[in-house]
Amino acid sequence: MRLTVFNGSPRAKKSNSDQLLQRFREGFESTEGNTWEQAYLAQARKCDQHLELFTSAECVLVVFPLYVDAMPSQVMEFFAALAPYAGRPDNPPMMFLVHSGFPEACQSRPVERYCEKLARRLGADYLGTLVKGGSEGIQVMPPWMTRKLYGTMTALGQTFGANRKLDEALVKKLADRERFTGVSLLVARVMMATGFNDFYWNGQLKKNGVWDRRYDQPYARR
Amino acid sequence: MRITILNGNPDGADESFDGYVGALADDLSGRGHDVTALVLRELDVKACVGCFGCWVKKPGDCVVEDDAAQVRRAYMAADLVLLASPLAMGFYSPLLKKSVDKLLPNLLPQIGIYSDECHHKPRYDHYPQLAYLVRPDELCDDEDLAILRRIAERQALDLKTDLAGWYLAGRPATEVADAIDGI
Repeated sequence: MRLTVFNGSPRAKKSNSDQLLQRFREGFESTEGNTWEQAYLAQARKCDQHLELFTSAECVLVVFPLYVDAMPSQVMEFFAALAPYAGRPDNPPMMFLVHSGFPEACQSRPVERYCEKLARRLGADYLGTLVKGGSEGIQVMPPWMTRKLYGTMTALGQTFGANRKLDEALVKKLADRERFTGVSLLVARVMMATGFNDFYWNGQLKKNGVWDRRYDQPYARR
Repeated sequence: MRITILNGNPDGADESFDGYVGALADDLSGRGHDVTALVLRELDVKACVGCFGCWVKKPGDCVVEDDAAQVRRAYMAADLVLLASPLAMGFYSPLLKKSVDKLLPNLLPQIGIYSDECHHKPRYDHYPQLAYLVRPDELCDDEDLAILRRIAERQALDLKTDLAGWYLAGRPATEVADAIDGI
């Protein structure tokens, strides 16, 4: 099978999306004969090429980080450009990977519904959406912190490459926590209140010499 | 009430949508509201590249100098922001989404718990209420509108406000003005 992948991250090759895709690809290509082609939607000037790739694809995977509860504008540009192909009889089967810096999978569910409807609108078979929370910073995490995640991505790629469908148990494993409830919510509140999770941002602000300006309000009402 | 309208109509030849938004703005002005309407296609707003410079290099502002600064200023100056756009492929225009993405500097990078979920902490003490004005296309159905409305509710939560209005451009503009007047 040939899989055509559209990486919709505005960070393109330097993205967490690419990190996740690399592992999926490792698994996918472990089945003999499977091939992979990849495009970056942040390269908007290549829109015509992206449309050509879509219309000639055997199977499509669209990947993007959650931006203000939906797809980044660059991805919406691509989706809007697909309008002339709505209902085309030979549109390729589509699946999606939506990941978010927030830890809860529930934050990506509304746009998951959008993705499913998009595939239907195009008349394409919908193969499912992978949802992953807590993806911010995976590029700079030590290997022990990403081993489980990358292992799951590789297993997803491997099973998809072999069976042409997403493994439901792995999809659920990847999504992990749907939302904080009960004790976990209490723990999260305490963690947030202590500022434990702020160390990365605080470090960056200090490193860039703007710590004193961290609460700047350049657009405050006058 | 200070009202900012972000008109995300990408097509200058689509005079009916601009005309509708113009009639609505005039009606609201006539009722004493202070209305600012930005036609986004006439501005140079670059897409967010996810660099986080607005959080860690130039706190509160984008490191890319473009007209998104004008959008953020008009956004924060308002009591109510109306996001207006024709729909295509079940969503509002990429042009409008570009400006929504560029509101990120209005939040802090640090995370807190809001409505039992993780969201960014507020940079400002007050944020405008949010409303949407959308014009469905011929392929748009109730499911599309339900999906988009749910996303709009979540965007409002993310942007530290609530969804104060959800309007379809098929209604007479004066009815939408009535509804906005009642907020």
